Amino acid sequence: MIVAEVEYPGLLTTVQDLGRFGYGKLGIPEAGAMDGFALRAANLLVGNPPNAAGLEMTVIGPTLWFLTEQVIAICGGDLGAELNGYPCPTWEAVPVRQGDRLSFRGRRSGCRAYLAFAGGIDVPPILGSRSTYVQGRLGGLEGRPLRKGDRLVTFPFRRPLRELLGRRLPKDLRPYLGPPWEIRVVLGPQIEYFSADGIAVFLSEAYTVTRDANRLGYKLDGPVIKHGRPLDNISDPSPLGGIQVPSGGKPIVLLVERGTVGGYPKIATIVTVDVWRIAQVFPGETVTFRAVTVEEGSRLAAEAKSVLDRIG
Amino acid sequence: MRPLYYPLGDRGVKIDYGNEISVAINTRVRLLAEAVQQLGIPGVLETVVAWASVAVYFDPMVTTYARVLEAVRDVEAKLDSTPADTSVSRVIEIPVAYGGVYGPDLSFVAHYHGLTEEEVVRIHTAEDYLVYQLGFSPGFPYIKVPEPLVTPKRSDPRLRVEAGSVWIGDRVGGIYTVDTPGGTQLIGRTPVRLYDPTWDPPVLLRPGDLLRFIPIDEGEFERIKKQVDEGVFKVAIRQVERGGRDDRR
Repeated sequence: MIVAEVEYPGLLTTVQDLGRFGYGKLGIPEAGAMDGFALRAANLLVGNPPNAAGLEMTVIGPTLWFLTEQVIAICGGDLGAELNGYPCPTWEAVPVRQGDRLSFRGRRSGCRAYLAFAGGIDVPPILGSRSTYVQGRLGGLEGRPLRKGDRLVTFPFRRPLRELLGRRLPKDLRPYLGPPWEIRVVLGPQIEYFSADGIAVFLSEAYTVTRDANRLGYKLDGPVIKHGRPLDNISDPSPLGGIQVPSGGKPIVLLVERGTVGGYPKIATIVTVDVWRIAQVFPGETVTFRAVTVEEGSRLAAEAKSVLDRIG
Repeated sequence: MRPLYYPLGDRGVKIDYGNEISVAINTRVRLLAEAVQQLGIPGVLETVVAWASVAVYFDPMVTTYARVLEAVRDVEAKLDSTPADTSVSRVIEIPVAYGGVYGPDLSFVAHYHGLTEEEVVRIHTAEDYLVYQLGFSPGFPYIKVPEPLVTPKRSDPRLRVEAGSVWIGDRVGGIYTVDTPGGTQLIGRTPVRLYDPTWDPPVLLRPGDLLRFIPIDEGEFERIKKQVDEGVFKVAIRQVERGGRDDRR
């Protein structure tokens, strides 16, 4: 069912689900939503499975004209959502009528917001996923960002839409998506390539997200992180959230469209809940890193899951 | 060959066989990845192979490092009693136009080694190369460069390297699959496409494949390119039997 027409595409609006897995060994990264918590929450709020396809909206959101009644949810960063010119609630199920117009006034906090439609977006799955690998022109809506004139199709929703009304994630359960951005990491897997001083600098100084920040990764600027031995490591798999440090000493955070293997030593890997949060850091803002254990990362993920389980 | 195990954040286990590039180690890496996949550990999202390591990624909202590590250790230990790898490999023939506009660094590589360009081509096309890993971009293969052709990377990287460019960078090499920046020595170019988002799967190569470079001239390059663009070119693929896990390098 055609649900909406794109009147204005926004800066970078793409169809995403939770990622395409199983092809990393062929060099195809998972892509998918950068803030996985926000997409899952938006989907659950409109009665979708967490992996349904929605829209990832970056900094400047799109303008959509609804051609049929629907229920939507917008979660993640605050890009200034408005419905028919009035502020549109976020982190809750919002009914829309045929003829309604959703637009975005401008970024207030965070960087990326996620729009879920009841039923989920219907585009052909490619290699088992509806995510758009933008760099590789693969998947989602014809392998590309939304354009003016595109029409979005959703799967039919089997339950009456009115059953979704009232679903919301209370404020105290929403992740805090603003500075100070403390990013929790597990050290390694190439920690032995760094001097004690280098590690100390990494864990105490503030790093600025430069304008060279996208779905492939974020280049950070800040005090040089010194290595402790020649960079003779052979390349190995690059995990989501891996922080690599080339010879220049400036760290690079690897994100959903990163190269799947890499040769620069990795000082640390960001825990999953903070990979989702770092997607909300805007260029120019700063982050600091704090080392945690794997168990702590696990605990944070379990906490996130229990919040999501409460929706509905 | 006992590996070390490392966490990758809260979402991965890295099985690390060290810093050496060898057929034996890479064969074990691929066997381990295959065995982990066959096992179907709950919560595991995928496995990625590299020269001498494997990453097993999992969903931290479904399972934990400790659980996945235990399952992986168990699989790894059982590999010793797995029969030698006698699977069939594919040998994929890659036609390459060497030098000139196709390989602007061929003369540098030749000069660096005190060889003629013809000698470089002869050495480069004389063996089947194991594809140890894919990465950097979709379907991008990594091979080990023969000792006589090991050449340092360029001090001055290019902003754009054309897809199909055949490269040497220190002791490793391969083929670019999409247009990207690159700092490696470009010795030739193939008209064959290695990545196409409309294919299923979208990449030509797999880890464990063997590559054979076949020298062609400009006329042949243009002829094949036309067929590739029309979607009618068929890459020549032979099957060979692997013989055990010896390191022949």
